[in-house]
Amino acid sequence: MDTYQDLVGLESNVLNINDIIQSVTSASCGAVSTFIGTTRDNFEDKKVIKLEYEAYKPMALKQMRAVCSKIRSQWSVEKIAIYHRLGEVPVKEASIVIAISSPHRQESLLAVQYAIDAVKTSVPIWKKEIYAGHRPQWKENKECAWSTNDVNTIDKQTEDFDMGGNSHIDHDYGVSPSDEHLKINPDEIQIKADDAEIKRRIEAFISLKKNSDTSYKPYIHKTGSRNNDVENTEVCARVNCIYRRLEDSKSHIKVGRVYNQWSHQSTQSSLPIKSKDKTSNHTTALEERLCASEQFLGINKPVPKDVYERIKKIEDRLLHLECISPEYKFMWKRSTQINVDTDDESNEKEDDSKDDSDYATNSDNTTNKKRIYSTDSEDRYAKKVKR
Amino acid sequence: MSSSSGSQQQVRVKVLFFAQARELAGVSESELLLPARLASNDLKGRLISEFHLSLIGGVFVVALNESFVEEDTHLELRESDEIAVIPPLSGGAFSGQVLVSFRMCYE
Repeated sequence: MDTYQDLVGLESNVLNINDIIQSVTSASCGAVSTFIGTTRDNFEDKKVIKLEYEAYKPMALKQMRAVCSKIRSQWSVEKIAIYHRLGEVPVKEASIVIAISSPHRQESLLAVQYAIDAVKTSVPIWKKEIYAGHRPQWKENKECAWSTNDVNTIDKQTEDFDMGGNSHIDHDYGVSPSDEHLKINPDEIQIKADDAEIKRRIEAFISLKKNSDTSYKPYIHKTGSRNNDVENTEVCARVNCIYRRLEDSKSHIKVGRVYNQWSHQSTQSSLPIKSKDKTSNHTTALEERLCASEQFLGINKPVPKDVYERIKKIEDRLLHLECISPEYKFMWKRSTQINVDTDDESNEKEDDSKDDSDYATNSDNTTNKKRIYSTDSEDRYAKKVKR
Repeated sequence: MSSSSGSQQQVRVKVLFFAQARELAGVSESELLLPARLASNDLKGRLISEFHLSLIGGVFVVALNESFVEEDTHLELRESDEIAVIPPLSGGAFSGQVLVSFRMCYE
């Protein structure tokens, strides 16, 4: 058997690492250095499902033999084996195996390092990565002299070979790094950290954000499916939750209110509509509804004669009630019965309003309340009843 | 197109496509009638226009009879020569992990 033997091959089956190592082992050699290239299952957070290698076979074999002879011209090694896998390769399986034997380890170690570099730059083999949820991508070795990246911008000495730091460059970056990248002023670089550190920082940031999110949870209590708001289907986003009372708090949540210094309401005296008959420009039906609202909200008599001022008073009252107990705003809306289990001051308000009910023309209090706090459909129903 | 002065002799060559170039051309193999003498850059230009390779632009090299063609050389083609369009290589191993821009910053 020839002592100086070059074994090259393109295999469509699993590369048998042991056989390849065995094939270069010899009695006269104290060292066998190997390089086994496998593929990670992810690339930039994209899950790699599988890989496909294709080659310009006759030229690839020719180039692999050329790599072998270049190794021999530089180092005294005995046997060289370079095998590359072709076709579909599942992740984690070896796509390339290089094994070189030499009398002393220094030669074979250097030769192996040279071999993988040379294969990447001169052997016509291409890899396509197929991702989950992303379109497949042809990769480029950054060492390749005519890749879309300028190979010269990367100092090969900084490559961390055994860590698998050989990055393939994504076609999709579009803009190829030009010479400008070389001339970056070191003072302008803000982050100087290695992969692991940057990854750690990103993960720390994510976990911080996730944890801080939980601080809101005590304030929101998810309701069961029982309270699903089926009526409110016209809104685009719905969250089924109610506010939970904070301890030692008069108010249940904080409500921000804007006090407008100027508005159409504050300048209404100039509105021509006001100059009309102040007492009878609204119908009795409207009067009745206003009275019922005022009564329910506990607004004391006498009420302003101007209908707009009366509505403004009702609005102010509603805002006040919303402000002190915002949670009930939604509860009223949802319930068909008014007398739900309220345990707060709004209940007292209701009692107050019942006391001076003499003003209501409609004696059925429940109907009136419904009209104020019900949904549209109920409102229409209430109007029908009135006619 | 042809920079040669004398003979305008045409030869029929076989053209092979690989990887991305194969997908863009839509075929893995084709034929092309070319001047027997032409510059390598002219050859690339012809290949780009004939086989819709503009998407990868000039980012490929050409192999003639299984040998890489250097840039800015003059070629002498013969009948049935084999020309291969070679996109950037990606043999070897690994999926890249580090963005190029990141790598710049380390140093």
